[in-house]
Amino acid sequence: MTEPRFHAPQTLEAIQTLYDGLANTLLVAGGQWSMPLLRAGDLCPDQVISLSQVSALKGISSHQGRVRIGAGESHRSIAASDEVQKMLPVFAHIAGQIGDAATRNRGTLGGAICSDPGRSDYAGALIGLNATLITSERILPAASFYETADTAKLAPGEILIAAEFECGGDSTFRKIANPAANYAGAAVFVTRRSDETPRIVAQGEALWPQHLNLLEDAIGTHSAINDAAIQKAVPTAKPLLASRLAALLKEALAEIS
Amino acid sequence: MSSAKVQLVINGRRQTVEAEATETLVDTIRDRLHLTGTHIGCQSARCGACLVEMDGQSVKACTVLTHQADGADIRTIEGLAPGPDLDAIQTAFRTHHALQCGFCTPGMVMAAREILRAHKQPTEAQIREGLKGNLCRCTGYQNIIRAIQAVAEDAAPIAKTGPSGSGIGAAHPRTEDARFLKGEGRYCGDINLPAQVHAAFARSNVPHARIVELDIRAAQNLPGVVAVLTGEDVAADGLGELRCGWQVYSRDGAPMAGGARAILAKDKVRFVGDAYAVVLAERPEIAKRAAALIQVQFEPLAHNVRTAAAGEADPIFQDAQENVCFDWLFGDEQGADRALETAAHVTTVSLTNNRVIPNALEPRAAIADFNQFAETATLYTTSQNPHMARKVIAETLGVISEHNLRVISPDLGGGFGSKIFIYPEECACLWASKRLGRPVKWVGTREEAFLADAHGRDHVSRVQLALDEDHRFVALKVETTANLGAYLSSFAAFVPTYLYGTMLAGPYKTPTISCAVKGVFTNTAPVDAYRGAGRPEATYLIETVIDTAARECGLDPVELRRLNLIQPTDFPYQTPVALEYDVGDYQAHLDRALSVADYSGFETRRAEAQARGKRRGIGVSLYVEACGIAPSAVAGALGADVGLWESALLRFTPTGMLQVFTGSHSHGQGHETTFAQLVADRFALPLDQIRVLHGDTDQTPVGMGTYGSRSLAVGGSAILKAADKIISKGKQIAAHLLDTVPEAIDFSDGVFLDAARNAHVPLREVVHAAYVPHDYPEDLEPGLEASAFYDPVNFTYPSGTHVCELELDPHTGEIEIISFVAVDDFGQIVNPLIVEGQVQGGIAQGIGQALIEHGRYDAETGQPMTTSYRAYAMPRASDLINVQTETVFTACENNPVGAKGCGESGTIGAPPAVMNAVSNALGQRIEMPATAEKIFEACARFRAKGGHD
Repeated sequence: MTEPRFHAPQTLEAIQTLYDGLANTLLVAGGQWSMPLLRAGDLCPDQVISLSQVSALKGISSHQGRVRIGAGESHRSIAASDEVQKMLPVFAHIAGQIGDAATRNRGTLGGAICSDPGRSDYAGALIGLNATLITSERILPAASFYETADTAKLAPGEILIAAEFECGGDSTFRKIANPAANYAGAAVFVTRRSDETPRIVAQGEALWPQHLNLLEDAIGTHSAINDAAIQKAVPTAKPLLASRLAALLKEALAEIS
Repeated sequence: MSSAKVQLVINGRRQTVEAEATETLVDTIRDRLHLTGTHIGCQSARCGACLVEMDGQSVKACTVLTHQADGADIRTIEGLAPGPDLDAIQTAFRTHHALQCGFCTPGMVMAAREILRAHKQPTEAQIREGLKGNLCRCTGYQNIIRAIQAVAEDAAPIAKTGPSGSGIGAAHPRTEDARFLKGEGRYCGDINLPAQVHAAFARSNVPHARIVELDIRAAQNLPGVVAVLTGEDVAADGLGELRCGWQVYSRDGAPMAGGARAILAKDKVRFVGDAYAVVLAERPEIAKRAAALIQVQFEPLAHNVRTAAAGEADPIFQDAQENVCFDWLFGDEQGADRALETAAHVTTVSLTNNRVIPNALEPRAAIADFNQFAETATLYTTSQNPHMARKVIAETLGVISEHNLRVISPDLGGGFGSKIFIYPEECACLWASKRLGRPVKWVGTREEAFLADAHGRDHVSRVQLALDEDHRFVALKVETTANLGAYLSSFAAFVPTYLYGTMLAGPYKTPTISCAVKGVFTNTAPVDAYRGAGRPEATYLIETVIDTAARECGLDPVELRRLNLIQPTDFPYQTPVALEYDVGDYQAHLDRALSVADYSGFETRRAEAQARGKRRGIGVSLYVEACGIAPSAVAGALGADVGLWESALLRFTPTGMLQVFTGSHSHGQGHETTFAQLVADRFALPLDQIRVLHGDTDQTPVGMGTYGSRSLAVGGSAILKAADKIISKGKQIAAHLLDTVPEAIDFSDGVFLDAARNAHVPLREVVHAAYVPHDYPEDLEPGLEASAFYDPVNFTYPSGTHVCELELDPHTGEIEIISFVAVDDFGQIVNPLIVEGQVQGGIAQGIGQALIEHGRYDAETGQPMTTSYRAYAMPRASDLINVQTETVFTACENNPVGAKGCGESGTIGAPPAVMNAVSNALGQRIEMPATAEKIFEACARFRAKGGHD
């Protein structure tokens, strides 16, 4: 039995070289998801590659109304970023309420998206804001990534580099947390540009993050948005989740409209 | 080993350490740098006990690979203030009693620093949010928040409750706090012995099965494995089985059936988590890896995890028919039946008391060191009663005799009952150490704690309350099925019987009461005492049926209670369930609690909430508990194997310092301060000249440990008794020195005084004479020490009223607690700061049981569903509010201290107060825990019947 080795490469190319050598590789960014599994013996990698030193994953920048956030940025740095606060305040808000302070200090955007995408608080914003995900292999719309639980996976050795957002419009995120694990028991993300129909994403326990197309269509056609319309648009057979999403949506729509 | 060097700056000092690729920072800090103030409380990065600072930011050290920290500046709790100093936050924690067992404290201090870096003047909400990554099971967070606020306000460090000074009644900050705040607490897992091996247990992953074949070869062959021991080895060595220390007889006179537990399962496993082998290896991770390599072939047996369906499993023990351990009857069942038939009104309620998991933040641990040549052994273990552990282990295992076994329970990171009992793991460590001739260490994981610690509660009951036409209670009939789990734990039979049936009178005059309890085995972790033990179950039942009766009869629940309360003039009051309450004034705390909670103004607040779409409820509960456990004669009559006295030894050292040795154990309760205060008054000594020692069977006198709110009432009384003996001997010495007779001497304010002759001699000179007996009475022994045993004459009976007000959101199922008021009568209070902390922490646990905590098993698979903090919800700072606590006083004359006990009041009073408030808001009853799902469904039912939110 060989003991695992640790690597902290500084470039994506170096990761690829290391990765090609050994299939059973654990990529670690902030460690919030993988370290508990490692400590419990659920992961037994042959090598551990830390992403912390990879400069390509760092940085928050804006250009021509778009914000780019490196996948290696911590929730804390996203929440505290002047650029994000100014250009994409809802994303700063989401980052600032993930987990707890110590989790935000270490946990990263990339870790949240790659390790448990369906439960990430970022999911609604990524989908709703039509973000673009940039990986070491491809550039793809977040909506495509989030199409199903199966598509929301990177290939072995594929590294998420950054997410890019088009800014503008009003957005809000509301969440009711699971009492034990703190992930979204129910959450909605709503965004609206001045002349457009709002885009609405819901997620929750046993509900994969997704657009509420029916509700968006109803709002687009100026149909009455009452409790019944909201309930009908919520894609879950679980009455509590449906009711929670409806309650959150009512608040969110009131704020955005 | 593929380790490599890492450079760290640790607390300002540059250090180079070796670390393996998958090693996390917490292990490096603890095991390689020996900074054990950073603790491990979970495996899921959800407890915060391992919080340290990395480059100025708090991080959970269990989530950082040591190699990722290469070059980082790490600060641990040990690096906050030089030498013995406390920094501003540590000082505030001490001043405001923001710590109890101390296990979470280093992480809490680190979280506090992060909060104060982020906010100069944090609001309460910001502090609660900032603490939500850190679990504390002791304090309820309230005093932690106070401490952080005080630092932000730069407030003068003044004690906040009660008078100053150091004697009885003084709110003196705890003397033990400094070591915890500095990271210098010494917990079992912090101890390492030369040449130790590490134990890991192979545990069943099926709920009920025969072991057909066990193949340990792969585990044995793993490099680094020293031995693999199985149930066959246990049997071959002739080790005895662990048994329950209380005998309960069924209504037909039959003794309890089944329940004995071998320290490793041999022929069958009875629950998921049941250990059938132990691996001993050079390193803990090797032991764990090897345990996973053990091949076991199970032949499944029908299992059952549900309390109400015990008969559905194949026999868990052959002699327990239908898996019933006992069918116990107490009280007057025929009388109760007659009263129910003729009563003007009968209220019937079926309810469950949910299984909760104690979750002391320090997982259990043991390190055993058997000396094969001397045939002696030392066992360090996480025990609330080390002397009991010594007795039971010596008697049961047969591997060592009691006088040769030293049990040390060092600092203990919380207990709440779960560390009273004798578990297989520490026994296995001792036995393995004898076999191997090397020390054996085991530190349990959080998952193991969820799987194999004794759980609490888990009752299914039917209760009937009969009322006459004037709404006076005429009879109470209770039928309960109590889940005992897969084995009978140390106190398991006692908790749902004599600690439960005897409490069913509560504070009310109910002339006839009967209680039938069926104790059943299921394929779940054993169930035993959890904070309150039997009394919370009884109180929940009484207070629920009374509220239901009030609703049915259209009465205010408070008025129904008032009508039936035992009056102050009724004491001593003999209940129909064996107890004689000595004293109390239940109206006093009821009136005060209602006033503080503004009960009369509730309807206005309810209407205002309704206008906001919220449903508001208020709930009241009263309780009486029996503490000061226990008069030995009574305990014996109730089936105990032991006496329940306590002992103490007081010793003046030759320089006049006082050592207080006690058989009680302190694990957050603050005995080192409270017990010192007891004698500080008596001897007029400052606290720094008194040292309280506990937890070491070779050092302290025999004792019965800490549980059942007994330490001050029983252990404290033994201390006072020993103090009296010292004073008596001191008088003889003083009489000699003053040339008079002892009868002429009084002792007060540290001076022996012959008032008639106006002659005196200070205590210090008497002590000196005792140890330097150059001029000394012929008939007196030198030295000044005394031991005493105290056996209580009766239980003590604390009581109280708790009032909870809350709001429900009918659409989201969310609950917001608006206020919580507790007014309790604990008799004489020695340290109000500590008592207040006990109440706050108990209430937090009680709220936890009522709203979110539930140890669940899947009925179909028998698998436990709550084995980490990602699945088992416990109250966090962000879930709670500041509770308002007050006390009233009636004098308890059952013990010399006058103390009644306070540690369990919160877990007894809070669940029914919260649940009555929930019922009040909903207009119907739901079961604990009142989860969002249940609240939502109840609101939906209400709407379906035409109601409006």
